Amino acid sequence: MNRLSGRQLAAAALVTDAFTLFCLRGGLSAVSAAGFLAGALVQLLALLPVIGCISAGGGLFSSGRIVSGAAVLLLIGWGGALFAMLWRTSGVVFIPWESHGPFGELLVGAALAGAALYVTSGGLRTLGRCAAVAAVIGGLCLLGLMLSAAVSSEVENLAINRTADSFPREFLRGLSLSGGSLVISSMAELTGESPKRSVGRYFAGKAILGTSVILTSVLVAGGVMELAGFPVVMAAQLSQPFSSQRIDSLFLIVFSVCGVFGAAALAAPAAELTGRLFPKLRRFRSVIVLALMLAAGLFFAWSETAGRVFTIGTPAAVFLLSAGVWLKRRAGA
Amino acid sequence: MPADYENLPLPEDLRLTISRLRELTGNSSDLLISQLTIGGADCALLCCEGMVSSSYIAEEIAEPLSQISGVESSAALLDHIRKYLLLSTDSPTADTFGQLFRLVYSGFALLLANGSSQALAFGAQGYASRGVQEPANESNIMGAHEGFSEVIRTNMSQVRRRLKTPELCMEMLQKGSQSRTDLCLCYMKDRVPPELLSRIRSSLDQIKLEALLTTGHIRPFLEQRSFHLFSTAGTTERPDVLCSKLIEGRVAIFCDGLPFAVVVPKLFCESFQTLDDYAFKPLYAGFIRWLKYLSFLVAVLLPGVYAAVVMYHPELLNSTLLMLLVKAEKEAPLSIITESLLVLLMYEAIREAGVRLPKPAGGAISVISGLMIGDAAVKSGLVSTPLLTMTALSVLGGMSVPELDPQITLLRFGSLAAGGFLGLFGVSLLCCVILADICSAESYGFPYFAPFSPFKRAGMSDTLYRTGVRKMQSRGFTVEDYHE
Repeated sequence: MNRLSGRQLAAAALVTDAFTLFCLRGGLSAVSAAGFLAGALVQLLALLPVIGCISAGGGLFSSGRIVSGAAVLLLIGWGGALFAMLWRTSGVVFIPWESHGPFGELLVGAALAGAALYVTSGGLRTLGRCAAVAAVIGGLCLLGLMLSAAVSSEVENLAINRTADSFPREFLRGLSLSGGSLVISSMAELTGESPKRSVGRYFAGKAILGTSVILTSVLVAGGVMELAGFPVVMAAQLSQPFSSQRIDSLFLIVFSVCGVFGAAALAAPAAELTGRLFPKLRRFRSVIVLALMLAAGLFFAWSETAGRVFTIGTPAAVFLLSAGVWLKRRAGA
Repeated sequence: MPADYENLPLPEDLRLTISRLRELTGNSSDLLISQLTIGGADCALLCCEGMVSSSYIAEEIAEPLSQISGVESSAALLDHIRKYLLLSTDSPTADTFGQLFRLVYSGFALLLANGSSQALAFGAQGYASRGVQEPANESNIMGAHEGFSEVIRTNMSQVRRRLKTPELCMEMLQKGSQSRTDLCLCYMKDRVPPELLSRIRSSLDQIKLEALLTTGHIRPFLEQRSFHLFSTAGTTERPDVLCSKLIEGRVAIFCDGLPFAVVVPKLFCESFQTLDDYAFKPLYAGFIRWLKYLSFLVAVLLPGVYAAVVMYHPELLNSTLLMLLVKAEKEAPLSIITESLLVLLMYEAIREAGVRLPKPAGGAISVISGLMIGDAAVKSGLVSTPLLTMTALSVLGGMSVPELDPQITLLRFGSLAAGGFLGLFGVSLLCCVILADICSAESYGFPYFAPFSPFKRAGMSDTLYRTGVRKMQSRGFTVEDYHE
């Protein structure tokens, strides 16, 4: 059985969201945390029909090829968005070769895709186990970063409210961190546990992770937020407990690990569904999916607006697909 | 395919039997056939030279046989021996040439009588073997100092001596179409998961080799087929360690001629455990265990991290350390990658030479390598001192976890390549790949990385730390707790 536990599933989804969170761009404030929580709540609501379909038995993907095909497209698209984020952020986290133009960026993306391919080829179980370990280690590292940030944090930064007049903007930004909810909606029926518990764990973890990372960033980098291209990365770089040794190397490791397992978490269900849709491609399904993700990444790197629209629209797409299946089942019953 | 003689029945005519034997063995000089008359019946005593104890045969078999008198027929003679003489505790019979050869070449003496198509065998094994000695690769401070030897029966007795319970089962089987090597499947029947046992039996049934000469001939049949760096079948050369594994519901396979037992399933965390952990106080044992986990990471990642930091992330170092490294690397004529590769390859070559060369030459190797690496290479400026220190630390770390040495060796080169090519990003990617490899390995449904992932809280008390023995005795742990 290619099953994974609810905890493992929640970990895989959280790791995906953590990577997206690290790649956040633009200023952050306390309102951002509120926007993030509101976005997460909407994502939770969008997942209700998915939970309904799975709890009623039958799952989502048994209802037809269209639903499976759409899920594959969404997963590949989100994988592309993840690669585009990697390329945008690689410069500030000091990934070697990224400064060598398109070749360097492609090399960095291909290396990450190669590692993700190895994880994906082990199956969903491997992914679940790895994601659980990565989540624990990542959590400990983030805790280390936050503790070290305590030295350089300033509480008055919380009062700085540059984005107070744009809650809707922050809400959309929070809504765009939807990779994890896509992972959980596409894999929930593969777990041995009730989807309610997996989804519950995931959103509880997401709320803690998101608010703590955003608030830490605000506390550390709030004063210079206007200069911050990537506020979370900047906060990690600024939070140095010692004068010389740099704790942000820890951040680079967490960033890379979340990138690999995030890409794998999106690629694994996509590969599984591709194998079901096109049995002849079963042998190369993971390679094909990751190659398409890289191609989608190139597109989203070229058209940033398309990427933003796609990531914001994902919860709506998940809702529409699952609600359609749910209503069709009810009508049939 | 069975040989032609395998099921060929023994003829009643003794002369014909002897001539067939000579013909089938090519008149091999180590097959000794002594023709004699016992109680008036023509007989022959067969044994293999060097495999039997000649004094035992003379005193315990030949002498009682020579005192038999006045038997009616050969069948009556064999019946009389079977009923009234206890010449050895192990007295099987052979009806075919296949059975006869198996017994003769296992150290039995066989009695053939003219007019009978059955041979009586007497256990008279007396071949030269290495005695019970201290294990060479699994040293121990506070525990027993005896290890397995090459004789399967001795190994079985060493386990039996420690587990005097009828729950301990030992099943004998033979594998190898030419070697006919004795294997022994060893398990505690009240602890072992039945499915695990039946799956191991069917795995062993797949062995169709001609000879079984090393554990490497058995282990691949007990491991997953897919490519994995880490092995899911372990080995031990210590009877006390094996007993602890058997009590946890694992299965061991002894192979005649090998001083090791193959143990299935094997978990990653076991590579960091020793029996000494239970001899020391939990706090110290826990410290040593953490030290080993750290050593493993240092052994694998240090060369890569060093190359990554020096080449791509010098900002991670403080100014003093940075100046020190810059000065050292400035003077070295080779790039860090080449330099590291050179030192690591040199170490591997020296180690291999030390293992393969005769023992007396080992000392010379140590002197030469010490001079070569420790002195000449640094003085000539070929290798920088910091790099040499890092390599030495990495090698030392690997020595703390000897069971994972082959994997560490390969991964060390991988880490160097990843760190040298992609910096810390590359090292992180390699860590992900290693983690995926460890997490995907399974042995008959037992995850190799348990109890870490999948997480089993109960297993933490003897992996992440070592709980007190008083608490452990009520734990009732078997490996079945980890099954998925």
